[in-house]
Amino acid sequence: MNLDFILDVLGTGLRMATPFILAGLGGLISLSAGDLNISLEGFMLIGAFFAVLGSYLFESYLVGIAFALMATVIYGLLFGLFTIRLKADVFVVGIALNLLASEATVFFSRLFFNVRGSFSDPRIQGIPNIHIAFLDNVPILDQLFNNHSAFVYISWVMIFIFWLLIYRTPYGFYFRAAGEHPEALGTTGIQVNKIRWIANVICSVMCGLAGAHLSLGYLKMFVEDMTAGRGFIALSAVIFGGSNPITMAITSLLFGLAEGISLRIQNMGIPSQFTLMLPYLTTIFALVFRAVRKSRKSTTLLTSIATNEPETKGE
Amino acid sequence: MKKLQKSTNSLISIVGVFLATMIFGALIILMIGKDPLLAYSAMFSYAMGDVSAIANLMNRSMALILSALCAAVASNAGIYNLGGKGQIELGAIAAAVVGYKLVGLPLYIHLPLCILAAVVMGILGAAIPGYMRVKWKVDEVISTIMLNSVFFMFTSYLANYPFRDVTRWSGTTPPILDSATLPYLVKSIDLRSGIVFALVAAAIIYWILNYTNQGYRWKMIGLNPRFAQYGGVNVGKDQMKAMVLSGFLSGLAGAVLVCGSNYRFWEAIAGPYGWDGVLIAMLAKNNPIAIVAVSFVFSIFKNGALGMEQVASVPSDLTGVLLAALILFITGREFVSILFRRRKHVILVDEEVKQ
Repeated sequence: MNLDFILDVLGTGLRMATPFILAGLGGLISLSAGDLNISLEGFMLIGAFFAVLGSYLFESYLVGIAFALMATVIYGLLFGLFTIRLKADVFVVGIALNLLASEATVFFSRLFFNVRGSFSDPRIQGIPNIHIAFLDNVPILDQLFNNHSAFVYISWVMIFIFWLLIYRTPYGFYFRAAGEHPEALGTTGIQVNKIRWIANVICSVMCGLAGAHLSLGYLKMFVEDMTAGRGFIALSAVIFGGSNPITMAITSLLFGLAEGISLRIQNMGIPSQFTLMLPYLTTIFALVFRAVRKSRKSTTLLTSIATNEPETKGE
Repeated sequence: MKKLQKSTNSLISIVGVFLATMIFGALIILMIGKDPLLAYSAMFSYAMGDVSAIANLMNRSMALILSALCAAVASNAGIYNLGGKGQIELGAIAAAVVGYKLVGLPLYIHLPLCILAAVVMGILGAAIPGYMRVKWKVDEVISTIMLNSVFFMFTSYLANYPFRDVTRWSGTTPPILDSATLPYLVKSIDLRSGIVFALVAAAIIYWILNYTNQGYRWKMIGLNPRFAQYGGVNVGKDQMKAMVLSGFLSGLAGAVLVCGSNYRFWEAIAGPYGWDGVLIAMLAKNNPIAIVAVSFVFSIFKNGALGMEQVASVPSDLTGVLLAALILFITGREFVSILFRRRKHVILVDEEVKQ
């Protein structure tokens, strides 16, 4: 257990947290606008596949990212069509879109690349790593913060952009109002559905970025179901961190760290399942903790009756 | 009479949606330059062409039906159980471990023990989120989704470390003993007896939901928990009962998978069944009879996929895409039927949808 090992694990954790942060920021917006998108997983998978497709066809990671964004936004419009326009249950649509993403990406990869399982090709151009020259001579920081994929840094910038969006522009307020009191927002003359559509598109874009990072950030390949539950971890980070991007990002970092640790100890032959369980367990404990506190506060008859709301609408 | 007309109407629209899905699939097949008629005929003949194909269909449907019943029982009582996947895995590993560890027992003791172990674990897996919901109002949609991953990791640990089959390369337990296997229904066509469990379970659930006090209370809670509460129903207790029954069914699904079809546990054994079950229950509107029917439709698609690939060289994964499309079309269909109803119904349906 030396310093190098610890730094290595921390660095991996930072790296692993990126998709959680990116997708989580999107999920956070969609949650505060009232449609908890449980198909972050599916959106990321779509993004990951089309990023590889674009990068493969044009040998450019920028085209790859553009493909990913286009695909996820179209996917998001589909989600919006069903949940906002057709008023279908968000969970049914979410589960269906998860299923569709996992099946459609396999179908497409057989169609376009004629392979099953995983696809990699020298033509696929990955997202470059960023080298920060002045960190070269700073021992610890260099190992931690230098030479990450560009999206790692972008995700950190995004945290603050989203913080500004939510707390310093009217849109943050609109999103929360659309989720918590849509009627009240409607009476102020703002179209609730428009706000929900915007939230939905933002969520899709962020998931697209997260997906592109997964497939082009380090691996430069597409693997069947490569999101492997990361969408659900991002969802936990959203639920755990609430509507504040900063607490959400810190949660994501911790979850990323848990995944980084699992990766390392797995190589050492120690069961990694328990560290991989941590994000989910901590989220459940947090939910229980919060709920217990809340139920102590409110003991009136009306609130003690089980309500039948299928979704949590922000905190 | 009105009820009959209503159910014919919904049958017609289901057939319509099914046709729309098939046409959508045909368009995709045409786009990739293959013959849709050939593909479909291959799919159906592969899935239902002869007796053993039908038997195969039954074998695939058994866990699907149980998994869908598990979701249906809970959501019928106004509490969602999206954790079928994890609970089935818990049940399956319990059945597998009991099935290979206990040596020297006769079939009539060993097999029931396996099923009992599976059922107990399934109930445990569902009772945790149920208790959290009833006691502290922790959103069960989130907690069951999270617990899916927790239980997956937990069973994956068990199958990789303490109970691992060392002769296999990863993630499986040793095969269960003969005394723990469910006997075949018809050996010559490979028809396994798990389907009996599934059909009997569906019939019993149908009876409970429609002809017992308990079923009535669940329905009341599902429609309006406050009304039920004021009417003297102990909402928490009844929802807890629904979760326990739901967990029982998923445990049973796990036992049927291990003792009646795979004969060992492996990682993610419930992979194809957990979420599909939730979707089937939603499509069937929690009606056990409809669940059996929809499960068979799912199985036809899944079993026929290989035939489609071999005969018409259409990638078998297309059927998954079609199933997802089917679900989306059905959710969309409700909107279409709303348009044709009168205004007051629109408001009613709106409220239903919001719930």
